[in-house]
Amino acid sequence: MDTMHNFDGSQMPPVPPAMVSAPHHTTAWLGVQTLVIAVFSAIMALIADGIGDYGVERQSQGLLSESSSLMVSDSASYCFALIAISLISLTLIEVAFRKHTNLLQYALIGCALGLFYLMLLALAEFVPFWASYSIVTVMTAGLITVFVKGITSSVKAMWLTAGILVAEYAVILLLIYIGSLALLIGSILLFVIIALAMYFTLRMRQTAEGELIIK
Amino acid sequence: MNVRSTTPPPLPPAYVPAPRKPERLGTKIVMMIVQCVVLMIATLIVWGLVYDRQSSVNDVADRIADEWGGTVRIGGPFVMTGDSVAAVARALRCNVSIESKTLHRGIYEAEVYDAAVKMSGSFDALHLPSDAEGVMMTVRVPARKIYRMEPLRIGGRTVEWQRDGNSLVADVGAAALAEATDFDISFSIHGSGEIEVVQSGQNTVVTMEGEARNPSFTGSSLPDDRTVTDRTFLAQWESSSAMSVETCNQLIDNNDWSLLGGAVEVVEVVSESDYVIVEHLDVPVIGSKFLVGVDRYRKVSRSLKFAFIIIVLTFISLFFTEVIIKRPIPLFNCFLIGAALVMFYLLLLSFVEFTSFGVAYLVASFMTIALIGGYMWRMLASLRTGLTIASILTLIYACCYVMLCLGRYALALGSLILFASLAAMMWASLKLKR
Repeated sequence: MDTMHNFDGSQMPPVPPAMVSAPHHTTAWLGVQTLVIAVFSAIMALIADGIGDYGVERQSQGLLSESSSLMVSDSASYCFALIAISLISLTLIEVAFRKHTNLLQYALIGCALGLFYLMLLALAEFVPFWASYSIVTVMTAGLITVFVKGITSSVKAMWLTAGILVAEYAVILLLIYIGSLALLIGSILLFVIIALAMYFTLRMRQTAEGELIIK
Repeated sequence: MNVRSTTPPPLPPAYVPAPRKPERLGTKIVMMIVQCVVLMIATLIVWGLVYDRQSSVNDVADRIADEWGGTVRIGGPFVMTGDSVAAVARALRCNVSIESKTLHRGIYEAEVYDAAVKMSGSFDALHLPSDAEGVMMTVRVPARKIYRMEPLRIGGRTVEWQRDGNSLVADVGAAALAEATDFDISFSIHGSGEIEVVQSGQNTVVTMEGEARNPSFTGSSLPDDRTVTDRTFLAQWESSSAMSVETCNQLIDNNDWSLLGGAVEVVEVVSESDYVIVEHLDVPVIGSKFLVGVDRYRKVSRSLKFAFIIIVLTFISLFFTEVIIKRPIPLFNCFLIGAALVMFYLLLLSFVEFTSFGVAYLVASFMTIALIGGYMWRMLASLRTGLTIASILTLIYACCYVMLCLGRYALALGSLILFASLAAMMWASLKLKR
């Protein structure tokens, strides 16, 4: 590099190397992210299933009513879809708002979503199921929302997360209560979610450097 | 030297992306195979769901059917004096005509039947002391479920029936049986699952006819004559010296009176074949079995067997599309398309509970094909590609439907389709080099 001179001729310190970061959100990153989320959701689903079984055990000890225990294990069966959809939408939010989040933070959010079922079981022993569900939903969604605000420092992302989480939990509560229509509504909703995911992959573009952006 | 430099400082070096390696086809194919495996695991989960639904729906169907009427076993008529059998019919002709109907409750339904039973025949002359008390004619049948009944006609007289738990009893008196007499019995009964007739005359001819889905014949012997068409069936059993007074009295002494007729506790016999032969049966009994629950879940689980071939054929056509159009289809997009293919089965399962299988298949495949076709259209910005993929998918789904419905030609058609798709693949791979 040529040495540069000041206006009065004295030598200037060399220009520091430019800080242009390599693209973070690449296609490969998205692939790894999806894989990790799938594996993590499967693990959490197994744990939630165990919590559902534990609910049956608590019921046999007379601590939990039968209907509550059934509903806890019903809600635990939606665990995989819930965690996968939440974490994937967080990934999309991360790409859309150009923020970096690491896998540890994803794992923490996933743990919060898994802890939901334990708290649900614990509270359902004292209050009716719907009350315990609402309290725990507010607690979990609140915690994750604040955490996302801390990560992205964007109010819009925060409200988006809160909206998605509350909508998911509301739909699952609905599915638990309507019983026989649950499969129909659930499968149509999953179809819509796949269509939405397809839509987002179409909205996603790669810049010349390979960075993914959502228009 | 005090020259004022007007040259601006050089721009910082821009990030130069590493030259992207051209995607190798081999890697892509391996990744697609991995995706296929993952999607097959998802299909297995859907299959488990189908199994769950089937068993829970069949439980409810059994409960609905039990309220209507359970398994019916018809035995008799016997002439009884007190607690023992005095005579069985010399000739007995029993005609059972079945009319099945479907009961609905919410999304659950159960197949039940109404059976119109006509028995006629004759007794030999029976010499009982004329002052004998309690000479009864008895027909063993779950009397509670009888909804229409004509009085017993014996030797030109009519006698009213009385319901007594698991039998119909008529007080005929000893005098009526002093010489050979003819009798006529007619009643209609509700039931479900199975109907059985005890061959309780010395010479017995039993005819069962009516409409029922897929009946199977059971009991100690198979029908001598049978005609089974799509909805109707006709079967006839003949036997001679099958039942004697001694056998009946032995059964009564052993407290096995219920074997001769009445409501039967259902013992599930699961069998692959149409015929179930219960061996070492003390009582000569024959019958027909009908399905109580719905069998459309079976069609869904059968269609799941084609999932692998649908996914593989779709992925192959995606791969060739990519090569021919020369625009990469990212693996994630491929995976979404595969997920939509698995979603088809979930949609099929949830629709089939509300409509017939054909309509459910049509709606679910239309939704899936529209989604995938539209996605390909927008992704590759080419309407022609979208339409091509949609028509390939339509063809695959139509073939699978035909294979599901034409059980007999399924193998021939399936292998022909595989042959044709192999030929298409060879043709397309020739285009790869250009």
